[in-house]
Amino acid sequence: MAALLEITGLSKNFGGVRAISDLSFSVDEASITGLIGPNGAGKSTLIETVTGFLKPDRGVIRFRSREIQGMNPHRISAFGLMRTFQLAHEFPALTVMENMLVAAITDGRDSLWKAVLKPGVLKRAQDLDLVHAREVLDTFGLLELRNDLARTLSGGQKRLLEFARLVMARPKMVMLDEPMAGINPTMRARIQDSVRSLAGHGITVLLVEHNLDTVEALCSTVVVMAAGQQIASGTMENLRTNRAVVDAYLGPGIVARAAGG
Amino acid sequence: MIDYLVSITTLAVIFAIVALALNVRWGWAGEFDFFVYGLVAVGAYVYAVVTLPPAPKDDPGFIYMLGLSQPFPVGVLAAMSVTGLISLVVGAIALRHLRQVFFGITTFSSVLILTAVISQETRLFNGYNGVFGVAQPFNDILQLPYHQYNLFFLGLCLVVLIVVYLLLERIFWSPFGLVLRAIREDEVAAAAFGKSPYTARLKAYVLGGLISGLAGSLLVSYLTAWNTDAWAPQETVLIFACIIIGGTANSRGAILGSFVVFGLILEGTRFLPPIPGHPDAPSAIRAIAIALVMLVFLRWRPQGLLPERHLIDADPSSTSRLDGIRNLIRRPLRRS
Repeated sequence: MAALLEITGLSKNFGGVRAISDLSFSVDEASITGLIGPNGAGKSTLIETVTGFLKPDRGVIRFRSREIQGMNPHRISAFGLMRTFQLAHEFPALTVMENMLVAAITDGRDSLWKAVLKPGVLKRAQDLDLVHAREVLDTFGLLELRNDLARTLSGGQKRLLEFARLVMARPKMVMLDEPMAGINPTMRARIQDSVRSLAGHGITVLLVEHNLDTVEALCSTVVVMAAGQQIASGTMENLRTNRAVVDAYLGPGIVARAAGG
Repeated sequence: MIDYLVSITTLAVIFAIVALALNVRWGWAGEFDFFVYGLVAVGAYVYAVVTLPPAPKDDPGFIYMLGLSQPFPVGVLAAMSVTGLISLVVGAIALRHLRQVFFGITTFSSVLILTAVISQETRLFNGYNGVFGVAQPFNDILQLPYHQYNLFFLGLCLVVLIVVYLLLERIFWSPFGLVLRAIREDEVAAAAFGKSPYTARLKAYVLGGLISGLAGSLLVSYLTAWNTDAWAPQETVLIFACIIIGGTANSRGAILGSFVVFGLILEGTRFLPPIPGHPDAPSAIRAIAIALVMLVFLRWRPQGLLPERHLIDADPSSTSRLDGIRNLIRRPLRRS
């Protein structure tokens, strides 16, 4: 399988703090890759840097074999690499359906000239989007809420709307930033299904998550970060017994003490 | 009485066009913009000097640039080009990093700079005294008497208002309009979906500038004179009042608001009984009335008389007309 995203020697400092230091790893096409690590490991900084919201200090990021480091976020996104946020970023005073339609607008359909000169063409394209959006909303259980303002949704529903919008946007790859944060256990199963359904739509997923059960259930490969560096990678099963990983999460010596009595 | 009504209506129609321009910037794009009325002023000046004959050579108290004796359409195009270009420059700088109140301060300062330059540099538009003697559009051909011409001019302004309104409705319901409102709601998320916040904002800013130039041309055609007293900063507050009262991000609301502010509140207070010894009382009461109405709306009806409209997707499985009507009635509230 070819690497869809390839990161080589990536570094990002905030003043004297090295948030990411000389990090290299790649994500295979059509995989769900997990990215775990303790708080402050640099996982969120990595997402921000790869998707263009932060500029890297050093390193090369290749997506679909093209260098994307330093590009503007909207260009990287338009190129097919999207992200979600730790806190849901819905468009609060737009309806759920309008949220979906915004995500579906591509190929320069949001041009001002077209708006003035070709309203018929745009209307027909939007009607197709509407039909598609109804289907997608239905699979996420949001169809009945489509005419409500997005800010009236619950936290879990907003999270589902983010996934539904991603399906509309059809990226090649998406980086999910802690989708389970602040979600109750019932909703968790639903969101887990949603991540699978993204993969089912052919979208490569990089999942940053603290909930290790979720990571184990979803991810074939897991990358572990600590202090801005990759310290291990492999299947979750192997990582559970990996000394460096356990040390990073629990502090060095715990396993040794537990084993030694 | 008819003359009086025609005159108020004409002003309200022109200010409705200004309110539509500000609504694009503030209602749709969320920009706290104070520059709109400055652009109306620039549009008025440019229209005046393009349509006026050359300044008299023997009068040092009445000098202005150009003086091209061009007809109405040329004057309007020139005014719109200049205000569009200024919007492009100011927007390109101010929209890059500034948001909310910082954007407001920057655009407000821009208007103050504009006032200072225009009032001091008399070779541009005759300084403080301003330009006057602007001809009535098309009346060199029509040769209408005073009363009939005023009606004709009101009709002309109404036609312009309707054309601008229809154009803006088309844009509001287009993908561009939707993306612009999404950027207003959350520009980071919009960028995460591949939309460039800066580009969309700049386009909207220039669109607002073009409409301002158009409105400025009409305003100076109506008043026939224009000077720095005509565009004090408080005029901008009146335009904001039109939108707050009428309905933010709703073009119909902006038009309705202009009629409420200029027709009812400003003109209504003219008929108050005079207070002996206080000749300034009516204008003070007018300002207080506007401020109070704005505060009442901001506190109890921030979405305005006509709230922002949304695409309502009727139930696809049901073709009942009742559903459509029910959806029309169920208008969501605007954000506070």
